[in-house]
Amino acid sequence: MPDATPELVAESLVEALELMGFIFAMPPEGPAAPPEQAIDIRLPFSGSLKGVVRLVAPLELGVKLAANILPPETHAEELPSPKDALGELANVACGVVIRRLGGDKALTIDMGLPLVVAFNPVQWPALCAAPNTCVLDAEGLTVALALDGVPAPASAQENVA
Amino acid sequence: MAHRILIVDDSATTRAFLKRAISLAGVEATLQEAPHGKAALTLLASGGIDLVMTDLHMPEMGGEELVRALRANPATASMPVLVISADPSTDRGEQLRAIGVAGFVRKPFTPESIRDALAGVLAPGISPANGAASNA
Repeated sequence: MPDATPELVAESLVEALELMGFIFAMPPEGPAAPPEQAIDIRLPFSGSLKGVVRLVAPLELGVKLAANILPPETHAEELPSPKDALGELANVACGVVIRRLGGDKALTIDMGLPLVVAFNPVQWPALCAAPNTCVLDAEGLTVALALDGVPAPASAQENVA
Repeated sequence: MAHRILIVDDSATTRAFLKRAISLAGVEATLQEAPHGKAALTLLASGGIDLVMTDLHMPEMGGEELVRALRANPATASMPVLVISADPSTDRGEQLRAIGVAGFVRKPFTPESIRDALAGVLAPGISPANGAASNA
């Protein structure tokens, strides 16, 4: 099973952004400031692996995602809410992170429903310093994805071997 | 004739993306939407649906519970169901097949993977593309 690394987390977020929203992301050129008007989405998971995937992203990224998904002639009032779009991005990114983390091992995972709160910028330095956090520049918008996860107890893993 | 498809997902974004993917796949369809399994069952009770495309993890009633409810009702027991989910479990496809799900597409999906999955369950008129859909 591959180790969790910031690179694995970043590759997962890049895949989710590209396939879901046709948005390209890359590492920022220097230390990134916390995103403005951002939300903080936490998705718990349990089973063969246990932990939380956390997405911090500006609402503007949700607007862009929703707009990219629908045809260009769609009126603004018909677009899904940016919170909904970011919640789904977190859901998709969480699935991709866990699949990459599992490698070729059999996994049984129960994914929880997302918890969404406004992001407190005071938390940004600690989030960026956490061991499995990636910060990316998504077409000019700063977004962070963090994995706080540990292998489940051996008994849980044996059940899915 | 247009296929009548019910999309069940708690995310309005995914419902919109699926609608676009179905359209991009060239599938002629009349689409209805529900945010969870309970609402889907209400819509299904009035008939006129050929296929259900559902997420797994939703509030109120999840996709697996929805499938079990459909199978338990003689009127919907043979309703084809495709599951579209980010669930990363390795054996989820097999588990879903065991309860009568026709196909499982993992998020993030592409229009091609949706087209391939639809081609497996709908009447002729859709030809599979070279996509990544996996039959459950």
